Amino acid sequence: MKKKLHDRWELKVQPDGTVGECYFCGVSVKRGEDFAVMVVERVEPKGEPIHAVCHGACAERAKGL
Amino acid sequence: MTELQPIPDDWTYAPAPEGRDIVTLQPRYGLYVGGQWLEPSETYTTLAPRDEEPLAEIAQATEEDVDRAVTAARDAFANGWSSLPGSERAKYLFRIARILQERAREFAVLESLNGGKPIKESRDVDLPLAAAHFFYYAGWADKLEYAFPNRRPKPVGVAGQIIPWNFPLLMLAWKIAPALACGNTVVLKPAETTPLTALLFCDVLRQAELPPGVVNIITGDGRTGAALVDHAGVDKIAFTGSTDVGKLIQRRLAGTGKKLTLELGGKAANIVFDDCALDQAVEGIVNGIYFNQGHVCCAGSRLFAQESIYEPLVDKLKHRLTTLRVGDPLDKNTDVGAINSRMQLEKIEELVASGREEGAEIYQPPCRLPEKGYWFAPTVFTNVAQSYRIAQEEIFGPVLSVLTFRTPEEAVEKANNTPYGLSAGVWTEKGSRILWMAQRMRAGVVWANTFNRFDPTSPFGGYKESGFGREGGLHGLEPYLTFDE
Repeated sequence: MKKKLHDRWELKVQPDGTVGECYFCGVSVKRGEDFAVMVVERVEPKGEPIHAVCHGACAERAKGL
Repeated sequence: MTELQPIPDDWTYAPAPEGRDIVTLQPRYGLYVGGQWLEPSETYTTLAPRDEEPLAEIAQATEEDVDRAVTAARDAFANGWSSLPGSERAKYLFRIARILQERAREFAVLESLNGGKPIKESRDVDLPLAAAHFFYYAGWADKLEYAFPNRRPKPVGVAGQIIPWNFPLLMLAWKIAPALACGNTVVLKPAETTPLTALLFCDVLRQAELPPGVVNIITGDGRTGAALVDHAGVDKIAFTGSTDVGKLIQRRLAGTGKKLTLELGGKAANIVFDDCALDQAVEGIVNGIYFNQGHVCCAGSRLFAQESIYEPLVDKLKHRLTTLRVGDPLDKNTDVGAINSRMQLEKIEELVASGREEGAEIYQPPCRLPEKGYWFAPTVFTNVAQSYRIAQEEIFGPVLSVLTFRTPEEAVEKANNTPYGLSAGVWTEKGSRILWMAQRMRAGVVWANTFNRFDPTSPFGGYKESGFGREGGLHGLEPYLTFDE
């Protein structure tokens, strides 16, 4: 199976500095904050991956550690 | 929105039947007790639901037969199996798993022949998962003390296990694998209509050289099940089946001290938000309800569509239904196979008739159903009210009821408005919404952007009238253990 090595998309920053909605908590993520970009691969049915941003702290919590 | 393409006039595929020569059926099967085949005093005929072909004569186990099986299991428990080191028990389980993999095609053909499910499902889902369960629990057999630290786990004793007809071999694996890994012995009764893969599994036990009496397989109808539940020599009952029978079992076991797990019915909500990937959601909805002809306790039989996408979603769904191939379960092209039994077909027909009478709008794609056998076309009901029987009762067939909602709060309220609570699905691109919904849904399993995904490492079980106890994963060990704490 051909493995996808990288994915590319654009982060659009709103005039007020909002980068997007945090994937995990739903609160807006602002430029300058500690944030992460993420790719969610679909399991079944397959499809285009979900591209999202999230707070750094939310990403840490999502690890379940 | 992209235009839907016109449906081609002809979806005929060249037949691609799986050969059934690989399966050697005995004309008559006895009871597998203490590693021996016992001659039955009474038999009944098991059929192929696709054409009502009689396949074999099956034993109807009596109370005396059940007693023999439980005695064999007790002896095996006391005489070595329970004290065998976990690493030795694991070897047997690994062997069983490997043999199942080696004989997968034979089992898949027999499963489809006796149960009516499409060969591609028994080949790609039932068999790999059944083997995976044995592999998974083989891994736990020598690690129980680490799974439950400081609790000194011990086997329960003899487990009486009663399994349904929708996933005969897979449910056998769900039941037998954790029971043996924990050091118990087993008396298992497959469903009346689908006993053949369980009986073929006895040959796997022979090949694996499992000590006699560790697994005993008895066949029969509800009377056999009742005798097993009532037998004083059984320490634990594990039942998967209808809520009505589950309630009966719980009543019968009250005050006996026997352990009990019940995995019962469901009326799962599949909730589709307007921000989801619609085409994937349609695939998930189809898989959620038409997989295994809807004979799935966790089937997504209630579709909740957010109002803003209701029309395109239903259009796409109806279009997709026209491409489903209904027919011979042994044909590799088939998507929807035969209904398992006449009794089940009559139940589906009765509930569908009630849906029409109550005012729901029915859609069935044009498809030619075979004349012989038990068949029902994939069905979608729209214009469904929450109070309709088709939205409340478990149909256990290829019938989907579509309802709508506006807000996430309303979706949760409506989804939880059922006596069941086995599973649910949420379709949205927002992780925060998935988590918000999952926290509020009264369902044992909540799938996000997928449906009907199973894994031996993941616990499965219900809330409310869908039962209690968990099967699969670490949680699946606990019902088969007692603890010195």
